[in-house]
Amino acid sequence: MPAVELREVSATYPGLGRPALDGISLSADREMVALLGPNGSGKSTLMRVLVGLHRPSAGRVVTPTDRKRLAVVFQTPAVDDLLTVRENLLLAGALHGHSTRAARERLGTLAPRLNLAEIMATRCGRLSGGQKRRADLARALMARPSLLILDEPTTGLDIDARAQFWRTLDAVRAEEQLTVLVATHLAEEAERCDRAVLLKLGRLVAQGTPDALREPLGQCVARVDLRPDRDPAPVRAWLDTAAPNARWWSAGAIVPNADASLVESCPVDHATVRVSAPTLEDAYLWHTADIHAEAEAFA
Amino acid sequence: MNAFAALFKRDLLRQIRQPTRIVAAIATPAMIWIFFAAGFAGSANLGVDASMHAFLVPGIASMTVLFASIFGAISLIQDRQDGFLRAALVSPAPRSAIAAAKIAAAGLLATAQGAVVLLMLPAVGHPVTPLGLLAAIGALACVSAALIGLGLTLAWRVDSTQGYHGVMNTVLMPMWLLSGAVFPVDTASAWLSYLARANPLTWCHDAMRHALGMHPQSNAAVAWTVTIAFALAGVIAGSATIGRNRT
Repeated sequence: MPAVELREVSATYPGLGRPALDGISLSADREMVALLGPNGSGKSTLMRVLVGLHRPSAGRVVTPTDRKRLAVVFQTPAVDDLLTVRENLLLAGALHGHSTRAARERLGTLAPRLNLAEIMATRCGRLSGGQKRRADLARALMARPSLLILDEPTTGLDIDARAQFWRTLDAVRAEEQLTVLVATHLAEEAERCDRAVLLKLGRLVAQGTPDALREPLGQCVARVDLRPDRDPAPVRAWLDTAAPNARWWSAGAIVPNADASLVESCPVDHATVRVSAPTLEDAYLWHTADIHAEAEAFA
Repeated sequence: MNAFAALFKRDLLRQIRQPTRIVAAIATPAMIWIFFAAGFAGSANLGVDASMHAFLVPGIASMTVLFASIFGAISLIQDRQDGFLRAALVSPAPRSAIAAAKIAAAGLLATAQGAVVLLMLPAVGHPVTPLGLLAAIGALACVSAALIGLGLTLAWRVDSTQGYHGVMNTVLMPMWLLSGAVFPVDTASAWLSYLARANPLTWCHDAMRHALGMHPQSNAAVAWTVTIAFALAGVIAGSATIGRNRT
């Protein structure tokens, strides 16, 4: 049985006017899966449903069935600032039903792996952002989880701390057989995962490996970005002829299998056209373009 | 260590590591006691055979507990804002353990702080027996459980500590003022007396006065029954509230 299996899960919030989750089916096992989408796409609701903090209005969470081997790293660290790192980790062990001895053993394993040995006796309120994040990751790992859920775990971290967080997570994954679900709005973070699930307006739009998601875009993609204060009609007219396979959203368009000549052929100076190898962000825009208009109407 | 013990220890450590809160929870009621007693000493007709200083002691002890319960409730709001509560709720630890640990830790500290006030009685010329003191501390523990349970229930519905100050000012402080803490209920005007008798905290004060030999205004069995029922209601309300999904 996979560590995560959802079948046609929907969820609602009073007053939202649309489902927060709309028939999501998903499974994952011993892989790192990114839930990629902007604010309001349903990432956090999906997490809340998975951990039992929000009851689905329809569908079924097949797994996880209990919380014993489930751990969550939230957007903001859930360590207690008034307790030391050691006290926080032992508390996390106790909350997951481990004996003091078992918790100490686990702590002894995690401290060097997460580079926490020197700050074990420091109160969490005195840690830097990066140290606190590592302590929070250790708190989650005290559960000896088979499923680790990360909800935008690098929010507020600088570039170095973010890189160190991912290196640490990669090291932990190499040591332990973990299924990891990462909710993120950053395509470059989703790029690090084995698979990405693209969410928009509570719907699962596409899923696959980053390469597979980029595949429809070909070797080169053109991003056409409109200036918000100018009339888009001339650009639309040009692209309708020059690249009829373009997909549009309000701020621009994306053209698969593009070549550099498209840049030269742009007749107006109030649109930026860039041709490059496709990124996962391009793939997200491509796959979700059909419901961008709906999203903008909703906003 | 099980989840209850670990969370109980954590809540105690948090309180101990914020000593200003403990000082504030005792100092404010102590100042109110001294100023009220000195201010009303020559003018108030208590209608009971007790000095103003001694009469105020049960009410001031419960005010100390009230302040401790307010800090306990605010810590719940902070736990929710900091994400700690969410992490506890998604762990396999039973929610009853999370609620019980919070009530027990805050209750222990609140009762200890209130007991310090009760220990002042001999100093103001009102002798107490050890048994009487123990019984009064028992009543105070019931007040702690009730007010902390009630505080958690109210705090669960509030999103910010600022919002909780509104609850404190409109619910908790009037409840304390209408409990015979600073005036005898029997000599108050009729409407106020009826209102005070509908307030369970009034009966808690009477239970303490029974224990301390301080001219209670009701039957001991009724006062103790209401006191214990108030404590149970607070614990049940607090536990049931934390058992619900809201993070």
